[in-house]
Amino acid sequence: MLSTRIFMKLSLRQRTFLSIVLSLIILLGMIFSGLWLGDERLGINPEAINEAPSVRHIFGTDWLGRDMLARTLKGLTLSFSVGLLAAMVSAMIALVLSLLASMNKIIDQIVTWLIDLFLSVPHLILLLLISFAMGGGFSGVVVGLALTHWPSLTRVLRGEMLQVKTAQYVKISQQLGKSHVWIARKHILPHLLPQLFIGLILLFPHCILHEAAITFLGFGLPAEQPAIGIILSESMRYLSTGKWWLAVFPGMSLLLMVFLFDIVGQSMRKWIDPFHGQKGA
Amino acid sequence: MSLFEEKQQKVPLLQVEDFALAFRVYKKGLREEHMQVIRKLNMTIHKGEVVAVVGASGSGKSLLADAVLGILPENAVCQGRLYYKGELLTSDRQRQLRGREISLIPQSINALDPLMKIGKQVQRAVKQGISKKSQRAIFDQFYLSKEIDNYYPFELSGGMARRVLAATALINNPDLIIADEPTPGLDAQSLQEVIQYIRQVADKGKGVMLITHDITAALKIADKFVIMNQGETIETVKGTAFIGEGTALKKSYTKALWHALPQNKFSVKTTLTSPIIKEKSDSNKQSNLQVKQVSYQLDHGQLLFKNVNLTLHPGEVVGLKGDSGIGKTTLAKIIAGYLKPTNGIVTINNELVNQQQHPVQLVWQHPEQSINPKWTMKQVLKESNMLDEETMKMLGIRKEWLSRWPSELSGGELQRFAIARVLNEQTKYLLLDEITTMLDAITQAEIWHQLLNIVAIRKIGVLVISHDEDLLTRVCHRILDFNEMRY
Repeated sequence: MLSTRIFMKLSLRQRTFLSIVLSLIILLGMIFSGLWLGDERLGINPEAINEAPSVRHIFGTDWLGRDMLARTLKGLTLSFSVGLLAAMVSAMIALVLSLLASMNKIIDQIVTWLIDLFLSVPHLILLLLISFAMGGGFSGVVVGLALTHWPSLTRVLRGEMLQVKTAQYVKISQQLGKSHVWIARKHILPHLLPQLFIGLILLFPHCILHEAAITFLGFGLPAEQPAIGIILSESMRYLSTGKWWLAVFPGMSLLLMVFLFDIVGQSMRKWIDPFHGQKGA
Repeated sequence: MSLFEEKQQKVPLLQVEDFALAFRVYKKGLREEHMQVIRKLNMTIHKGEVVAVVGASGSGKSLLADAVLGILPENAVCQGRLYYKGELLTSDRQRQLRGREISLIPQSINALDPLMKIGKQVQRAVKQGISKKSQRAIFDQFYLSKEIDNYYPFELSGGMARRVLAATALINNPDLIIADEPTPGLDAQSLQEVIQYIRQVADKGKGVMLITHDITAALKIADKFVIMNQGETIETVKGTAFIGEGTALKKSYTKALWHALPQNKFSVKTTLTSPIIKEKSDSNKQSNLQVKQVSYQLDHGQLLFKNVNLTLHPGEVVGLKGDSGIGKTTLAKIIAGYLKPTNGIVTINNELVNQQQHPVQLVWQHPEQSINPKWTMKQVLKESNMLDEETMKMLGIRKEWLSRWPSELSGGELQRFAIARVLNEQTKYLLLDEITTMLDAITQAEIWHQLLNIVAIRKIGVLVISHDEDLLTRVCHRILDFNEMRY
């Protein structure tokens, strides 16, 4: 493979840069093509029902003759925005709570109690309740996802925070008369950022999958919106009759998107934080 | 002399020829750079010899040990040749030999597994024979009694842990032993013990590479000294050359190292600092720091010390010595307000401390731990508003260091920042806990000269905690023995 050999010859800096740029191009391509596509591409076409993948319909068509490529791209855009928005809000909640927990023991106990409380209720049930109470739809799903996905990340961040808090330099800072807020902002926050970044990336697919799950159960996005979750749940009924393309391509696209997101995240971390670049090549 | 010649004729146990080592490192934005750590290193070790490798901290001594064992990090780039018993040491051979014929006495007690009993983890290292039997045999040699088998690492004293580490290294009867800084932080007696074991091992016909910056300790046992500076071996001398004025030493760096020792001249190369102001500046006796009847109880009820009294005046430098593990650091933490005493009080001018910023500041032994690794050095000084040119100049902090990360500075350089950080306007007293133990003699002498000058000018009261009695006699007005004070 000539191309891989050329790729390996580049320095780590060039390789990292290249992976970020390539992944971003593909990711943005996916998202923007979904935005560009007009709704008319989702129209019903009785003449091309259940067509296998071909040049005309690369991803095939479904039982109403809708082009699966257009639906997938639309769905990806929707899932992406739901996932990203929910993951970002969740991560922010996690960060704020773990920084608050660094202030004193009582707040720390409250935060720990909140984490336990939220983790003791099954994700999906809480998600259903919140989404239902918010009246469903896009905003209901996002709020529901955001309010249910922060506990595990908060736990990780709190652990990291406790470790930094016992470090000598923090103790010295306290003796130098620095306030809790100052220490949280200057000493603890920089140590939490890498974890936060990784947490955000890991939350993202989680959110998308849960979005798909409650949509499947009928409490999430309305059925006419082509979210990946809806596409997948619909395709279940046709899989047994041999229409594999209905599930394979949308599923693979979702996987590819998460994978690209992960590459961007990892490479960015190496780029920003040279301490992690030191080991190996 | 015939014995010496006979040794010379044999094939050396280990021979290092023009060894060089660089690291591939990535700076921000992943710019690739090569960092040359060792430039040119030559040394030989024969059977029955203790060869001490001494030199400035950060001159690549510990990396040499890793290179011989073949356990360098992945991003290391090596050049030059290593021979073991006359044959080239390849990475395959290293893998076979390490732990069997070549073994390491590690620098840190952290090398022991904290969750495993001592006896068990030493048995695991046995490569041939009955592990239990050989572990017991080697422990007997090191006067480690049967109960110790069932101890966990945290139950060992510093000296005992060193002996366990040495026993583990010797259990497979290796021919070459690399001892990486086996002595720092040990009190005089434990130090003597560890050093004697190493000598005994060599007398049984093994080769020992003793990596250290403690020349005084090395002098007692080493046959040869390899002096390293800035990644190069500059000179190889016999131990007997270190005597008197050091006229037998050829290179100026070696001489400087010798003269910088506290028991010698404690001199520094540069002329930037005036000689140590030893006479006490007579300050008003009214202001003082007093420790009154302070006791401290450990979590499981044992009394660490009881009714300790101590008075410190501004401008006074007081030494505190004592065995390892008897609570010197704990006392320092109590005085500086890190810990609350079980009983008793600490007062300044007969008042309890109530300021936001504590007037007593503590400088720790390991600057790598007391400086946030995610900060640039500029931020470190800014934290306490000490971006003050004069203090920086007096402590020998260079301007270009300010933009660097802690990982890019040596221990001595970092320690200067740790000192500068606490020399705030509000600081009236300083507690220095073994601040130069990890540093080489020249850096140590420099830091103390600079520090004592500032302290004398600012009239700061200083409590110096150290094992090194020579150093204490050199820098202090009076010395207290914590062994006598603590009950």
